[in-house]
This record gives sequence, C-alpha cells and structure tokens, in this order.
Amino acid sequence: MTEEEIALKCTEADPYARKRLYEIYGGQLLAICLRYIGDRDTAQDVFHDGIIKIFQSIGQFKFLGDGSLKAWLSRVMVNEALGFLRKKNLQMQQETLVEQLPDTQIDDDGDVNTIPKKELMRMISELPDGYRTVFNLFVFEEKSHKEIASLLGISEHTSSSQYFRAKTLLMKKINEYRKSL
Amino acid sequence: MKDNREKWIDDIRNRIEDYSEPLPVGLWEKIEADIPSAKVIPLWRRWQSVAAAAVAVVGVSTLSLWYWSSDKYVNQANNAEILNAVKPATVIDAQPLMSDNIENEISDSGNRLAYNATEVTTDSRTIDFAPVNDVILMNTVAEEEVSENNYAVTEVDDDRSKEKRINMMKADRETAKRNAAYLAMSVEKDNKDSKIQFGVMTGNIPYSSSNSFSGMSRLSTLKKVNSNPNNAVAGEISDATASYTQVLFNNIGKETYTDVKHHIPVTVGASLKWNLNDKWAVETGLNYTYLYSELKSGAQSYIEDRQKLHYVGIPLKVHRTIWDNSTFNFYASLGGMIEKCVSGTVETVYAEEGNVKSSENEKIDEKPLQFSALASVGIQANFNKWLSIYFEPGMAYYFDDNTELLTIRKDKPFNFNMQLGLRFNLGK
Repeated sequence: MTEEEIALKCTEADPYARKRLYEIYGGQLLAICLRYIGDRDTAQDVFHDGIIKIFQSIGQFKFLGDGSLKAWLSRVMVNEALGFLRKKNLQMQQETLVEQLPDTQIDDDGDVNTIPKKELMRMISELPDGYRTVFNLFVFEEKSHKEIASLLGISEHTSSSQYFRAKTLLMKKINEYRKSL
Repeated sequence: MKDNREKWIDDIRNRIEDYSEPLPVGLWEKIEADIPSAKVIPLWRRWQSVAAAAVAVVGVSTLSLWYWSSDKYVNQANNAEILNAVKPATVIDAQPLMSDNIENEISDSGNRLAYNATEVTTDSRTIDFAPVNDVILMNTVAEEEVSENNYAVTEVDDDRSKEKRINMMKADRETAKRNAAYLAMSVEKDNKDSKIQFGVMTGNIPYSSSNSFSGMSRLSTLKKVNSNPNNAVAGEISDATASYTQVLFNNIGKETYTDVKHHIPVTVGASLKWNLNDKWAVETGLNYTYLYSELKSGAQSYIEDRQKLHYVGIPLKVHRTIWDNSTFNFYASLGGMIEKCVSGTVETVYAEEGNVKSSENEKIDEKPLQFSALASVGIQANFNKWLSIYFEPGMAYYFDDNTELLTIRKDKPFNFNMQLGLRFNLGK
C-alpha cells in the first residue's frame, strides 16, 4: 500500500489501512508527543487521543506527493500536544520563576552525533515544560520567535529567552552526560 | 533565523527528527476500540449529498413526466429515472455493511483488550467513550488549531534546506515544500472566508425551439381577440377581431398550419453569494429575462404574432462544494426562482392572400408569476483573490403559470439550462 492508498482507505474507515498507518507512523508520532510532553504516560495519553483525531479528520488530508502524509500526521500530533500543553497552561508561568542560569560554555568541538538518540530524547523530555515547548517549535517546527509568541500567547522576547535557556540547560545536560561516561 | 541556531542544535534536530519510539504493546487495540463509529460520517455525508442530488434529479424528471407527456420527454425522463434509481440504492446498501464491520471490529478488539488487560500499563486512565457531540467539538477545535498552525509556518529558509541536503536530510526539504504548500492551502482557506461574493451572470436555455402543426393557433388569447368566428356576425367587434375572423374565413376549406418559434431566452442578472462555510453557500439575486416568440398561423391568408415578454425574477440557490483547489471549485447546486412578468406586448400582422393588410400592437394584460426549480453543477475558476468566472450547466423545470400565454417555458417546461458569470469577492 502506498502512502496515498493508506490515506484513502483510512477515510473509508478500512481497519487494515488504519493499522498499517499506525504501524508505519505511530513510532514517530509517539516520539513527537514524548518530545513535547516529556512525561511518558501523559505522552501516551496524548498520542492515543491524537491518533483518534487523525482517523476522524483524515478526510481533510490532501495528498501532495510522497511525505505529505507524514507531514500532515506530524502536524496534527504537534497540535494535539500543543493543545494539551495549552490546557495545562504551564509554560507561561515559568519564565519569571527560574533564576538566572549560569552561562554554560558551549564547546563547539562537542559532537552531539556520538550521543545515542534515546539519550538526546531523554534530555529534551527532561526540560521544563515551557522551555521544551519553545525549543521544539523553534528547532523542529522551524517557527520564528514571532510565530511562537503568537502561537503560545507569550511575548517574542519571552520566546527567545526561553529558547536560550532551553539551549543552555540542554548543553549542561550534554556535558554532564559526557562526564558520566 | 539561521544565525540564531548553532550547529550542535541542528545536529540534534537531524538526529532526532525522525526518531521513532517503540510502540507499547496493546496500545493499538485500545486506540482501535476507542475510535468512535461516528468517524464514518464524513464519507457518508459525501455519499448522502450525491444520493440527494440523484434523488433531486429523479424528482425533477418525475415531475416533468407528470406535467409533460410528450414522447420524447417520457423516454428521456424514464432513462434518467432508471439510471438514478439504481445508484442511490447501491449506496444505501453499502452503508449498513460498513458499520457492521466496524461494530464487529470494535467488539473483537474489545475482547482482545480484556485479554491483554495485564499488559496495559496506564492503569490510572479510564477508557472514555466520548459522546459523539464531544468528539465533533474536539474535532472542530483540532481543525482550528491545524489551520492556525499552518498559518504560522511562514518562513521557509532555503539555505537551511540546502544544508540539510548535504546532511542527507532530503526529507527536510520536502517538509519545507510541503509547509509552503500547506501555507498556500491555508491562505486559500482564508480567501474562502470572505463571506460575500457579488456576481453578474447571463445565460438560459441554450437553444430556441420551433414547432409546427396543422390548424390555426395564437400565442396568447387576448381578451379582444375571440377566436370564435360565430361572433363575427355580432355587431360590436374590434378591428383585431374582425381581421382575425377574416383570416379564418379566408382559410375555410384550406389546409392551414401554424409555425411557432420561441427564440433563445436572454437572461442577465446580478447575484449575491454567501459562503456559509467551506462547503455550503447560498446565492440569491435579481434576474431579468426576455422571452421572444413568433407565430405564423394560416395559409395564404395568415396572421403573425410577435410576442415579447419581460420577466424580473429572484433566484435562490444552495451550493455544495464537491471538490476544490486553489484555482477551481466544483459544486452542485439546487434551487428555485420566482419570476414576475412585468411587461409584455404582442405585435400582430394580418395578411390576406399574401398581402399584409393590417398590423397592430397590443399590451398583454396578463402578468403571471412563473415558478421554476433548478438543479445544476458548476465549475468556478478563480483568476485571483477577487475575481472568478463560473459556468453552470443544469436542468430547469418551469411550472405551469396557468395562463394562455405560450412561451418556450410552456413548450418545454423541463429543459437544459446554462449560466455563465463572474463573481467578485467583497472583502472579508
């Protein structure tokens, strides 16, 4: 079954196609949830709801070539995760609470490519909610701080400072990980 | 944006972007069981509208069958009826089958779920079977979020994509392209949000109609013209009656014939269209129609009637989008029109033995209301954000207006119909 066929059959509520879609894309979508939510159990709940939403709204998907299904699925899942975070409404409250972090020297020699993906995922998941959301949107969704600001209802400045702190914290975690080896 | 991002961040992104988490055992069964069966509705609705359109066609053809029993139309209508009667039935049959499958599937997976109960790790969660309404609500919210999100993806950084390609991340470039495509879609969606469109149109039955039969006839029975020749002996009769009676008299014993020609009606109009949402729209407006018919009746001596009727009408149509993209929009529409004859004249020429003897102009006093029903499909091409052109072929049925006026609408009440027009978007 091609991408297009899967999407089409899913609009017809074909159970086999649904299962295929889940098998092919489920892992990546779950990873997205984990990246945004942090906590595994909660991420799984959001994933569960997201998949159901995907099957309900797959009729709106328009096939635009290879990869378009994955892009669409990711988008729905990111929105599901963001919706959840918005409800939780944690990210906004954090910025003023956190004390100034010490400037961690980011050494450019450090090659993150040697760190296992699972570890990187863990580090991102462990970031505080607000940092993590901005970090995800900026790095993975490639949104500008302006866009993030309007998306999350925060100021542009807040977005960029949260991103900066997320980066610093992440580098700290990476350095700690290297030391622990 | 590039300046703000260091290489190590990009590395993280590249490594993790396609990262896949192992799926927990038994989660699919749980999700499958939780998919509400209401999910079938969107597809079914699509079929519903197709079925509804088919039913409408059958309905209109049946009506025409009643009101018009000329052989040609009987055949045509029968064919349409047979064709259409088959289609909706198939659709309806397929539906219960589908939902049956789903029910089975759900109960199956329910069993499996029970069987695997020990493996389900998230014990604190309750399985909630969301009521259909809630689900729809959630859905709407999600859609809003999707479009919001699309909208936010504005800047696609080409430099970044190139860098990615070097890093064997071709997929990324595609993401960028897709994002742009989605953006285009979302912008287009915004365009559709402009609720009101103003339009001008023209069009009607695309052909004229002629008809010949033996015997004498008139286009309209005017009060003054009484076709009963016995009245000729009475004293007080108008010139017109006298002339007509003379023609009848001259043709006694001769083979007479009548030739009626209804010219192509001319309709122009202005319309307003409200886009209720992505799929549905309502259109109304003001139309002017000009009907011109000629009749020649008699033999050597004959009369010629030239009938001109002016109608002003108000149409009301409901459009349903079947398929669309940024340039084209396919839709089906169903509606009706009420028209009022505002003015009418008959010019009559009397000729005896081939020589025009007299002619006269009369106003038609009867100003009937004309009702009609219309079903059509349309295609609209958008030139730009503000202007689009549309073409709507369809079928119209004109109900009998209970007058003696003979028009193309009485001659062929069930007819094909075409419309061509422009639509202008009026703001947001």
